[in-house]
Amino acid sequence: VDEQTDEELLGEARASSDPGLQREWLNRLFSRYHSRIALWCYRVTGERESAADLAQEVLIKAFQNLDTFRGDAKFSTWLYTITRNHCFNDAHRRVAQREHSMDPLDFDMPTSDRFDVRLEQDQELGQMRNMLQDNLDETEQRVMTLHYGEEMPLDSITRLLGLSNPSGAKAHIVSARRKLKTAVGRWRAIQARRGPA
Amino acid sequence: MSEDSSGLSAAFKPGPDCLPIDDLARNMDFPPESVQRKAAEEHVSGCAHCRTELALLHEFVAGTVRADEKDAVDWIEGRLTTPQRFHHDPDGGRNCGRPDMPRRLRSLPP
Repeated sequence: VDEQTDEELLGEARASSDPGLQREWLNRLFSRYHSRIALWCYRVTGERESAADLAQEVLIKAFQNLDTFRGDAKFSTWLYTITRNHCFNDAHRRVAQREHSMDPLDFDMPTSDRFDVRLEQDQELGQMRNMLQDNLDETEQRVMTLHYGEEMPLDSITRLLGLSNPSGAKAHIVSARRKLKTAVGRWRAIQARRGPA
Repeated sequence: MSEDSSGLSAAFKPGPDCLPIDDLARNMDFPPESVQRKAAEEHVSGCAHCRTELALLHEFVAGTVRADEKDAVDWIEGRLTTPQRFHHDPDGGRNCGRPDMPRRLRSLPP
Protein backbone atom coordinates (compact mmCIF):
# COMPACT_ATOMS: atom_id res chain seq x y z
CA VAL A 1 0.00 0.00 0.00
CA ASP A 2 2.84 2.35 0.83
CA GLU A 3 4.08 2.03 -2.73
CA GLN A 4 0.76 3.12 -4.19
CA THR A 5 0.47 6.71 -5.23
CA ASP A 6 -2.06 9.02 -3.61
CA GLU A 7 -4.09 8.99 -6.79
CA GLU A 8 -4.12 5.17 -6.85
CA LEU A 9 -5.36 5.03 -3.25
CA LEU A 10 -8.12 7.47 -4.09
CA GLY A 11 -8.97 5.44 -7.18
CA GLU A 12 -9.32 2.31 -5.02
CA ALA A 13 -11.67 4.17 -2.69
CA ARG A 14 -13.76 5.49 -5.54
CA ALA A 15 -13.96 2.09 -7.20
CA SER A 16 -15.13 0.33 -4.06
CA SER A 17 -18.81 -0.02 -3.29
CA ASP A 18 -18.09 -1.23 0.24
CA PRO A 19 -18.24 1.72 2.67
CA GLY A 20 -15.85 -0.06 5.03
CA LEU A 21 -13.25 -0.49 2.31
CA GLN A 22 -13.75 3.07 1.12
CA ARG A 23 -13.08 4.23 4.64
CA GLU A 24 -9.95 2.10 4.81
CA TRP A 25 -8.50 3.41 1.54
CA LEU A 26 -9.25 7.00 2.38
CA ASN A 27 -7.87 6.64 5.87
CA ARG A 28 -4.61 5.37 4.40
CA LEU A 29 -4.51 8.23 1.95
CA PHE A 30 -5.22 11.03 4.41
CA SER A 31 -3.04 9.57 7.14
CA ARG A 32 -0.08 10.29 4.88
CA TYR A 33 -0.85 13.97 5.26
CA HIS A 34 -1.75 14.30 8.93
CA SER A 35 1.74 15.45 9.87
CA ARG A 36 2.01 17.87 6.96
CA ILE A 37 -1.37 19.45 7.67
CA ALA A 38 -0.56 19.65 11.39
CA LEU A 39 2.77 21.32 10.60
CA TRP A 40 1.25 23.87 8.24
CA CYS A 41 -1.54 24.77 10.68
CA TYR A 42 0.95 25.11 13.51
CA ARG A 43 3.12 27.44 11.47
CA VAL A 44 0.15 29.66 10.66
CA THR A 45 -1.28 29.82 14.20
CA GLY A 46 1.80 29.25 16.36
CA GLU A 47 -0.41 27.60 18.96
CA ARG A 48 -1.20 23.91 19.46
CA GLU A 49 -4.87 23.94 20.36
CA SER A 50 -6.01 26.23 17.58
CA ALA A 51 -3.72 24.47 15.12
CA ALA A 52 -5.29 21.12 16.03
CA ASP A 53 -8.79 22.54 15.47
CA LEU A 54 -7.70 24.11 12.23
CA ALA A 55 -6.08 20.90 10.99
CA GLN A 56 -9.22 18.91 11.75
CA GLU A 57 -11.29 21.47 9.85
CA VAL A 58 -8.92 21.11 6.88
CA LEU A 59 -9.41 17.35 6.88
CA ILE A 60 -13.17 17.76 7.00
CA LYS A 61 -13.15 20.30 4.21
CA ALA A 62 -10.99 18.01 2.08
CA PHE A 63 -13.39 15.11 2.66
CA GLN A 64 -16.39 17.22 1.86
CA ASN A 65 -14.81 18.40 -1.38
CA LEU A 66 -13.25 15.12 -2.44
CA ASP A 67 -15.57 14.97 -5.45
CA THR A 68 -13.94 18.11 -6.82
CA PHE A 69 -10.58 16.36 -7.17
CA ARG A 70 -10.46 15.42 -10.85
CA GLY A 71 -6.87 14.28 -11.06
CA ASP A 72 -5.75 17.24 -13.18
CA ALA A 73 -3.18 18.13 -10.52
CA LYS A 74 -1.46 15.92 -7.97
CA PHE A 75 -3.50 15.01 -4.92
CA SER A 76 -0.84 16.65 -2.74
CA THR A 77 -1.24 19.93 -4.62
CA TRP A 78 -5.03 19.76 -4.31
CA LEU A 79 -4.80 19.11 -0.58
CA TYR A 80 -2.21 21.85 -0.18
CA THR A 81 -4.57 24.33 -1.83
CA ILE A 82 -7.32 23.48 0.64
CA THR A 83 -4.92 23.66 3.58
CA ARG A 84 -3.38 26.94 2.46
CA ASN A 85 -6.68 28.67 1.73
CA HIS A 86 -8.34 27.51 4.94
CA CYS A 87 -5.36 28.54 7.08
CA PHE A 88 -4.91 31.90 5.38
CA ASN A 89 -8.62 32.68 5.77
CA ASP A 90 -8.42 31.74 9.44
CA ALA A 91 -5.39 34.01 9.91
CA HIS A 92 -7.26 36.92 8.29
CA ARG A 93 -10.24 36.28 10.57
CA ARG A 94 -8.01 36.22 13.67
CA VAL A 95 -6.36 39.50 12.69
CA ALA A 96 -9.77 41.11 12.12
CA GLN A 97 -11.03 39.91 15.50
CA ARG A 98 -8.15 41.25 17.57
CA GLU A 99 -9.52 43.68 20.11
CA HIS A 100 -7.04 46.42 19.30
CA SER A 101 -6.74 45.46 15.74
CA MET A 102 -4.03 47.16 13.75
CA ASP A 103 -4.00 47.23 10.03
CA PRO A 104 -1.75 44.24 9.41
CA LEU A 105 0.03 46.25 6.76
CA ASP A 106 0.61 49.22 9.02
CA PHE A 107 2.83 48.03 11.83
CA ASP A 108 5.21 50.39 13.57
CA MET A 109 7.34 51.31 10.58
CA PRO A 110 9.84 54.06 11.41
CA THR A 111 8.79 57.36 9.85
CA SER A 112 12.09 57.59 8.03
CA ASP A 113 11.29 54.35 6.20
CA ARG A 114 7.90 55.44 4.98
CA PHE A 115 7.48 56.48 1.40
CA ASP A 116 4.73 57.12 -1.05
CA VAL A 117 3.95 53.96 -2.94
CA ARG A 118 0.69 55.06 -4.44
CA LEU A 119 0.60 53.90 -8.01
CA GLU A 120 -1.23 56.04 -10.48
CA GLN A 121 -1.23 53.83 -13.53
CA ASP A 122 -0.73 50.23 -14.60
CA GLN A 123 2.62 51.31 -16.00
CA GLU A 124 3.73 52.25 -12.50
CA LEU A 125 2.58 48.88 -11.21
CA GLY A 126 4.74 47.14 -13.78
CA GLN A 127 7.63 49.42 -12.85
CA MET A 128 7.18 48.62 -9.17
CA ARG A 129 7.23 44.88 -9.93
CA ASN A 130 10.46 45.29 -11.86
CA MET A 131 11.96 47.29 -8.99
CA LEU A 132 11.15 44.71 -6.37
CA GLN A 133 12.51 41.98 -8.61
CA ASP A 134 15.73 43.90 -9.20
CA ASN A 135 16.30 45.23 -5.69
CA LEU A 136 15.04 42.67 -3.16
CA ASP A 137 16.58 39.34 -2.30
CA GLU A 138 14.50 36.17 -2.51
CA THR A 139 13.60 36.08 1.18
CA GLU A 140 12.54 39.72 1.15
CA GLN A 141 10.32 39.08 -1.89
CA ARG A 142 8.65 36.12 -0.19
CA VAL A 143 8.09 38.02 3.05
CA MET A 144 6.68 41.03 1.19
CA THR A 145 4.45 38.78 -0.95
CA LEU A 146 2.97 37.08 2.09
CA HIS A 147 2.55 40.30 4.06
CA TYR A 148 1.38 42.77 1.43
CA GLY A 149 0.00 40.37 -1.18
CA GLU A 150 -1.65 37.84 1.12
CA GLU A 151 -2.06 40.04 4.21
CA MET A 152 -0.55 37.42 6.49
CA PRO A 153 0.53 38.39 10.03
CA LEU A 154 4.24 38.75 10.58
CA ASP A 155 4.54 35.95 13.15
CA SER A 156 2.90 33.48 10.76
CA ILE A 157 5.28 34.52 7.99
CA THR A 158 8.25 34.06 10.29
CA ARG A 159 7.21 30.48 11.04
CA LEU A 160 6.10 29.60 7.48
CA LEU A 161 9.43 30.70 6.01
CA GLY A 162 11.51 29.39 8.92
CA LEU A 163 13.15 32.77 9.54
CA SER A 164 15.57 32.40 12.44
CA ASN A 165 16.76 36.00 12.85
CA PRO A 166 15.62 37.62 16.13
CA SER A 167 12.88 39.85 14.73
CA GLY A 168 11.84 37.45 11.98
CA ALA A 169 9.74 38.75 9.08
CA LYS A 170 9.69 42.32 10.37
CA ALA A 171 13.42 42.80 9.79
CA HIS A 172 13.07 41.64 6.20
CA ILE A 173 10.18 44.04 5.60
CA VAL A 174 12.10 46.98 7.02
CA SER A 175 15.10 46.11 4.87
CA ALA A 176 12.95 45.59 1.76
CA ARG A 177 11.11 48.88 2.22
CA ARG A 178 14.37 50.80 2.61
CA LYS A 179 15.62 49.33 -0.65
CA LEU A 180 12.34 50.07 -2.39
CA LYS A 181 12.26 53.59 -1.04
CA THR A 182 15.66 54.25 -2.60
CA ALA A 183 14.66 52.63 -5.88
CA VAL A 184 11.35 54.50 -6.07
CA GLY A 185 13.11 57.79 -5.29
CA ARG A 186 15.60 57.18 -8.09
CA TRP A 187 12.86 56.28 -10.52
CA ARG A 188 10.72 59.30 -9.63
CA ALA A 189 13.73 61.61 -10.03
CA ILE A 190 14.29 60.25 -13.52
CA GLN A 191 10.61 60.69 -14.34
CA ALA A 192 10.70 64.28 -13.07
CA ARG A 193 13.72 65.11 -15.24
CA ARG A 194 11.91 63.71 -18.27
CA GLY A 195 8.92 65.92 -17.55
CA PRO A 196 5.26 65.16 -18.17
CA ALA A 197 4.49 62.60 -20.88
CA MET B 1 5.42 61.99 2.24
CA SER B 2 2.20 60.14 2.81
CA GLU B 3 1.99 56.41 3.24
CA ASP B 4 -0.29 54.27 1.17
CA SER B 5 0.31 50.53 1.25
CA SER B 6 -2.16 49.81 -1.52
CA GLY B 7 0.56 50.25 -4.10
CA LEU B 8 2.73 47.66 -2.37
CA SER B 9 -0.24 45.35 -2.00
CA ALA B 10 -0.99 45.63 -5.71
CA ALA B 11 2.63 44.93 -6.59
CA PHE B 12 2.73 41.74 -4.51
CA LYS B 13 -0.70 40.35 -5.35
CA PRO B 14 -1.11 37.87 -8.21
CA GLY B 15 -1.24 39.54 -11.61
CA PRO B 16 -3.42 38.72 -14.61
CA ASP B 17 -0.85 36.23 -15.91
CA CYS B 18 -0.59 34.28 -12.65
CA LEU B 19 -2.16 30.82 -12.70
CA PRO B 20 -3.84 29.12 -9.74
CA ILE B 21 -1.23 27.14 -7.84
CA ASP B 22 -2.58 23.75 -8.94
CA ASP B 23 -2.35 24.75 -12.62
CA LEU B 24 1.08 26.27 -12.11
CA ALA B 25 2.37 23.19 -10.29
CA ARG B 26 1.01 20.92 -13.02
CA ASN B 27 2.72 22.95 -15.73
CA MET B 28 5.99 22.85 -13.80
CA ASP B 29 5.73 19.05 -13.77
CA PHE B 30 5.76 18.82 -17.57
CA PRO B 31 9.06 17.73 -19.20
CA PRO B 32 11.67 20.52 -19.30
CA GLU B 33 11.42 20.97 -23.08
CA SER B 34 7.62 21.19 -23.14
CA VAL B 35 5.82 24.41 -24.03
CA GLN B 36 3.89 24.33 -20.75
CA ARG B 37 7.02 23.98 -18.61
CA LYS B 38 8.95 26.66 -20.46
CA ALA B 39 6.06 29.12 -20.22
CA ALA B 40 5.63 28.39 -16.52
CA GLU B 41 9.35 28.77 -15.81
CA GLU B 42 9.51 32.04 -17.72
CA HIS B 43 6.59 33.44 -15.76
CA VAL B 44 7.87 32.21 -12.40
CA SER B 45 11.33 33.70 -12.96
CA GLY B 46 9.77 37.17 -13.06
CA CYS B 47 6.95 36.75 -10.56
CA ALA B 48 7.59 36.97 -6.82
CA HIS B 49 4.06 35.87 -6.03
CA CYS B 50 4.24 32.63 -7.99
CA ARG B 51 7.74 31.83 -6.74
CA THR B 52 6.48 32.25 -3.19
CA GLU B 53 3.45 30.05 -3.84
CA LEU B 54 5.60 27.32 -5.35
CA ALA B 55 8.05 27.50 -2.45
CA LEU B 56 5.21 27.11 0.06
CA LEU B 57 3.78 24.17 -1.89
CA HIS B 58 7.18 22.46 -1.90
CA GLU B 59 7.50 23.09 1.85
CA PHE B 60 4.10 21.51 2.42
CA VAL B 61 4.88 18.45 0.30
CA ALA B 62 8.31 17.99 1.88
CA GLY B 63 6.76 18.28 5.34
CA THR B 64 10.10 18.76 7.01
CA VAL B 65 9.53 19.42 10.70
CA ARG B 66 12.12 21.63 12.36
CA ALA B 67 13.48 20.60 15.75
CA ASP B 68 11.60 23.33 17.62
CA GLU B 69 8.31 22.26 15.99
CA LYS B 70 8.49 18.54 16.60
CA ASP B 71 6.73 18.32 19.97
CA ALA B 72 3.87 20.53 18.87
CA VAL B 73 3.39 18.75 15.55
CA ASP B 74 3.43 15.33 17.23
CA TRP B 75 0.84 16.56 19.73
CA ILE B 76 -1.43 17.99 17.01
CA GLU B 77 -1.04 14.92 14.82
CA GLY B 78 -1.98 12.73 17.76
CA ARG B 79 -5.29 14.55 18.03
CA LEU B 80 -6.15 14.29 14.34
CA THR B 81 -8.52 11.70 13.07
CA THR B 82 -9.44 11.04 9.52
CA PRO B 83 -13.17 11.72 9.39
CA GLN B 84 -14.81 8.34 9.74
CA ARG B 85 -18.45 8.43 8.80
CA PHE B 86 -19.31 8.21 5.14
CA HIS B 87 -22.33 7.52 3.13
CA HIS B 88 -22.07 5.91 -0.24
CA ASP B 89 -22.77 8.11 -3.21
CA PRO B 90 -25.40 6.07 -5.05
CA ASP B 91 -24.92 7.68 -8.44
CA GLY B 92 -21.73 6.82 -10.20
CA GLY B 93 -20.08 4.94 -7.38
CA ARG B 94 -17.87 7.89 -6.56
CA ASN B 95 -17.06 8.05 -2.90
CA CYS B 96 -18.56 11.02 -1.24
CA GLY B 97 -17.12 11.32 2.23
CA ARG B 98 -19.37 13.12 4.66
CA PRO B 99 -17.62 13.09 7.98
CA ASP B 100 -18.98 13.77 11.39
CA MET B 101 -18.51 17.39 12.32
CA PRO B 102 -16.25 17.99 15.30
CA ARG B 103 -17.74 19.54 18.39
CA ARG B 104 -16.38 23.02 17.67
CA LEU B 105 -17.96 23.12 14.21
CA ARG B 106 -21.28 21.66 15.32
CA SER B 107 -21.67 24.62 17.61
CA LEU B 108 -21.30 27.12 14.79
CA PRO B 109 -24.35 28.52 13.03
CA PRO B 110 -24.98 27.16 9.54
